[in-house]
Amino acid sequence: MTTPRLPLARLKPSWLAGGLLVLGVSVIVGAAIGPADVSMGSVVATVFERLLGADRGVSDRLAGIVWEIRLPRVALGLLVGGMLSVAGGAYQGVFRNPLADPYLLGAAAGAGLGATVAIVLSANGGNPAWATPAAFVGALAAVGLATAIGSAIDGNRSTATLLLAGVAVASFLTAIQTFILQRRVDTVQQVYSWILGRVATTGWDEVWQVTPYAVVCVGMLFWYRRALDVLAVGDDVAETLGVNARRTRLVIVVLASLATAAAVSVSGLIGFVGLVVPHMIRLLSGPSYRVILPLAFLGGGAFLVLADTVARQAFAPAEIPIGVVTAFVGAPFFMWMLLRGGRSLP
Amino acid sequence: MITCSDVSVSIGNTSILSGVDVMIPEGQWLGVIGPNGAGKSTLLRVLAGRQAHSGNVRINGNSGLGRKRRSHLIAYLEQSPLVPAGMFVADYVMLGRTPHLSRFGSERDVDHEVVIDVLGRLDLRDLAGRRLDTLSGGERQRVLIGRALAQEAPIVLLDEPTTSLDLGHQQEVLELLDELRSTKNLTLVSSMHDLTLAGQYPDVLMLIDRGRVVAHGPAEEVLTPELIVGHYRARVEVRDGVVRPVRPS
Repeated sequence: MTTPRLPLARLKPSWLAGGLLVLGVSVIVGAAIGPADVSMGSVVATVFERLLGADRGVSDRLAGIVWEIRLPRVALGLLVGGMLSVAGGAYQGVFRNPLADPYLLGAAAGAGLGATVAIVLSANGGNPAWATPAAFVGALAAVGLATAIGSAIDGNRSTATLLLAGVAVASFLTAIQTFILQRRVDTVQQVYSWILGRVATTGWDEVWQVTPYAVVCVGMLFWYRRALDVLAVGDDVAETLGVNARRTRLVIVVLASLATAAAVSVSGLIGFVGLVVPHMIRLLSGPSYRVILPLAFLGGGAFLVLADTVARQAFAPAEIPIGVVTAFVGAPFFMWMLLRGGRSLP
Repeated sequence: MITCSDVSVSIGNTSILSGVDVMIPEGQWLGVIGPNGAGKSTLLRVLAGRQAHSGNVRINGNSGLGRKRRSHLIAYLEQSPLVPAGMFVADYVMLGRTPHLSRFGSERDVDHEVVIDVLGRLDLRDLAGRRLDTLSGGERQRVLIGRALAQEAPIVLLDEPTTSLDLGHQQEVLELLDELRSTKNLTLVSSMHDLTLAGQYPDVLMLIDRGRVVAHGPAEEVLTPELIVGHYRARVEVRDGVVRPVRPS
């Protein structure tokens, strides 16, 4: 006889399949749309050719466009979107705050400042290898400062104080960044084009640069997804359930900040992904982070791939910064959340 | 068994508890009573290991238990715990199994069995798939108690388990605790506001006022007009163990 099981909030195979389908379609659409006419079939055929070696009859020119230009960009969008979205979901869990995200907490601004300093200090320009570590330091410092201010006011109990502290920290760090840029006019152009958010790639280099961070951060945050559910009932209860609440919280904040930093250092400040995607998923699936985090990765990846397609294509050949596209979607969503939940927010 | 010797808690220069000595044998239900601000919740927090204190607290003879071992011995229900909106009853009660799971593990058959059993005892089977924020006050309180019971700890600390419940639900919850205590041989420590119910359910009462234990014993020794009038600054009469407020004539 099998033991009866309770209907618990778990990642259902159908949801996972749905998420993978959405992501797969976004990737194919993202790789097919562009100045050169590529059919979705050719995208799939090229992927089969490159990965399995079988000749599927795609012309070398098209295969080159898909494999060397389109797909690296799509892959980078997928990783960056997935990381920002998982980081946003993790911040929301740790701070028990549905409006927390890398942007609003100041983490993205801190990462931006760190990466800017790294770029300005590197003599030959370009995106130095230590932009990511510098961005990480900036992101952690920013989140640390925002939470310290929030807890000094009211122990981070209210949604509003933490976000206000995050906004204040972000403004301050952005001011420092602007000041640095004004002093170093030679790098303004380069930094600005990056800071506004873009997933431009030169081949697969950027993808490989960010992959290890994505694997480590997202993988470890997935591990902590049950812990996030336990933290939801409060630190005192979590502790009496045998969970070291402070240490768990710290590890999760560090991982989410590292994911934010890696994303920001390759593609600048892209707002609202970490807010909108986990929140949409929470509305659909309920509040368990065991479901939210994996789906947030898939959904965030798909969202950013599509946003980048719009950014490239809407006013082609000119590109709009992807941060503008995500804000066009995300800011109204944020306003709607405020209107909808404003009365219930503490 | 819980033994407290000379337990004191101070926050800044304010003394919250001072010199509390108490021994709670296995299987006893101790009711902690006292006026607002007497230190009842603080005492429960000390027992739960959630409050820095001086003096010594031994649980089954051990002091300085680690977080993990303590979680197998003591379940604690806060007075107003965070209730995550949108979480389902079954998931919430299952969180009580956390001490029994490996660090990153998931629930095994035995965890499902325990939670199903707890839901049955608390008459919550039909609510398993309901969201916490759709429950009535009485249902919610039973769910919170369910989480504490799913932990399967031999000692259960309850900070005002019947606050915000109507009289019927108060009785229902207290009867249930009493039944569980005898079937599972639980040691219960609960703080209580209602003196009549406090006189009816726990075996032993402890009256604290301004951080000090002023009386400790069976209800008839603790619920006396002198003690209640003196420490609650209330006008009462006590008849057959029932504390009745009286209006000034």
